[in-house]
Amino acid sequence: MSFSEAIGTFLFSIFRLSTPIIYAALAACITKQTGLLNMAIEGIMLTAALSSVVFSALTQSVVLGVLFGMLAGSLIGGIISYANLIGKTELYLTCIAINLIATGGTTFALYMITGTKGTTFSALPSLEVPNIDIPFIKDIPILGTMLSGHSILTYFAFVCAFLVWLLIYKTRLGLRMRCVGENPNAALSVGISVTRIKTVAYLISGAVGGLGGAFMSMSYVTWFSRDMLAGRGFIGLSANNITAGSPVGATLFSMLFGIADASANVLQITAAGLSYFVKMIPYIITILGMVIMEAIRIRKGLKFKDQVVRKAIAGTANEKDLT
Amino acid sequence: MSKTRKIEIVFEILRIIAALLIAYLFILVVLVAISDEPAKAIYNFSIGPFSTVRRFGGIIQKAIPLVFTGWGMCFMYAVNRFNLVGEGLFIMSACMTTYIALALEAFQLPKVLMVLLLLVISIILGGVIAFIPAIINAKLNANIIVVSIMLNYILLYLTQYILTRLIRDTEVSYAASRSIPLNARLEKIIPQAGIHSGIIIMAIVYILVVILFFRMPAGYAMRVVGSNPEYAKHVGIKVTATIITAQVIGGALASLGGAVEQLGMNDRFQWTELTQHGMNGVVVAVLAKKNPILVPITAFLLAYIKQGAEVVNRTSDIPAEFIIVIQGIIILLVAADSFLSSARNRMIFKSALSPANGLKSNS
Repeated sequence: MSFSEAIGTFLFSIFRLSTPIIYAALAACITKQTGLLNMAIEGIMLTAALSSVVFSALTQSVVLGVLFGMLAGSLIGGIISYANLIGKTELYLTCIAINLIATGGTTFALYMITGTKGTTFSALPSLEVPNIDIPFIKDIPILGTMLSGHSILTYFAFVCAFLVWLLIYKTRLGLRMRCVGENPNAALSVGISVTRIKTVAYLISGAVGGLGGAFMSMSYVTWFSRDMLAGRGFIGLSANNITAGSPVGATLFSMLFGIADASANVLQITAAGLSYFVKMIPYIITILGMVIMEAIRIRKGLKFKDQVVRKAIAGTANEKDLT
Repeated sequence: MSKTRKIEIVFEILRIIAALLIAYLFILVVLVAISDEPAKAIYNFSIGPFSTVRRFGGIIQKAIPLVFTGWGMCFMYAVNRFNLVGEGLFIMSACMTTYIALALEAFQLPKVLMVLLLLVISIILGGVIAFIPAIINAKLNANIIVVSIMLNYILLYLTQYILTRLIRDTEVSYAASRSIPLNARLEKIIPQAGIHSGIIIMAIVYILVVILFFRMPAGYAMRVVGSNPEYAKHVGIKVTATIITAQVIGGALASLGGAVEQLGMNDRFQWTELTQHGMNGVVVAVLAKKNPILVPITAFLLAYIKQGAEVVNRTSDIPAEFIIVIQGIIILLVAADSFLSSARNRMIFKSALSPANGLKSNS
């Protein structure tokens, strides 16, 4: 492999490894806008990953596989919002419970369907989301290797980031979501159903997380294995926390974690004796990222808070279609 | 105690019992649905754990580590911090005690000294590691669940490094440490049931934990901070310091559990993935309503369910993983404030209207 090819492959792997984290971060972003943390993304994505594999094998349709992944994600989102908003459970506990149910439930279902506890590999004839070669760009040396030949779901992750941005900042629903997040009582006073908006946010969040799950089991690899997410949902969640709920920022930070992941993969080959330390890199980077960004935010503290308050006042004063 | 408070407590207990019953029924339904021989599966699950001394001993064996991680979570949960580092600490502590026991093998220390030393080291280890997410959360307000889960993965890989590079027994084909020296192992006190002296350690720690939680200023401060941080600030409790202390103690307890489990149950260190003991601790603490006194009972209940699942798993082809699902359902039901709340509110309303309170009922 030539040097430029090696660089191209490395850059390619950044996009590939960032994809599930981007979906997780976007899923977190949507509920964060309504003031709720979705800490069950890990469970949502895990369930979706299994659901995609099973239904793509059953229906022999890639589209249906992905759709069922999204549906499974939404279902879990619905369960969380029901438990939290109607059942009045503590959100943290709910999400811990949902993650537990997803971990145990997927392994259990896996065993019931295939008779093994490890993977669906060779047990289920599941499909793969096709990869796309971009004409012209694919012939450019480094850029071509980097940008071309990705899974459709990888390209769609960036489209999805744009869609989430549109949803949050350019639609009525998004405005209501932000309003509920900023001040639920104010939202209630102008006739917005807080429960309904939050539920809708969880359903959409689940669907977006479901796309990430579908990517993991139909693109990243083409099977489901237990605990295959290995904390990616939480890494995405922290990418979102760091950027305080901005879809574009969350995407960029997810890419940063993708770089950490890709570097770990490269180092794994070269530094064989230290492979376990290399595997820690993404998690260490995540903690460091949170520490550094929170420290910066606290240093800026007052100024930042001021801005938010002013923006919020200006924002609500200008919007007329809150009804 | 006011009448309202009494009704509330009664309903708290009712709710936990109802949650357990629902979860239990759920298990039975699942067993009937998927088993080829439902009657046998149900018998094995519900009666099986009590059918032989060995199996009953298995419940106690399983309960001991859960008591420790459950106490750990009680402290974390008492100050409202869902620090999940207990999961990683459990495996880390088991690995480190093995490592140190092997390193000190040549000195031939007396058993009591060796075990005490290892337990103290595990306590310190747990406290120090639990301090990391605690301080990050307290000073920087970073999400504690994310930080602690990331830390769990780091701890897991650290143990795997120690296992494969430092303590691995090259004479066995699978990844396992060298055999733990005999002077570091906890004695089996009831050999026919496989119960080790960890149960004595548990009893001692039980007394200490209850005293600390209910009879010491530090424990009081934790409970006040957890239930009402504003009030705690006004009466001069150092809120941040209390929150961190609680998590350090919680981590130390979970870590101690890992050491006791390792020295009491295992000949070698051979865990290659997280053991779920930390997450079980969450369930135990939630069921006990973060009251350390009740933890041994709820740990026993969970251990019974786990043992039942294991018996079923061994005698049929039903995987034990459905127990993890059950734990999630139990948490949801116990945590759901609205579960049975309308009945509770009706009772409170009725008692307020009763003539004993001097109010006239309109109905």
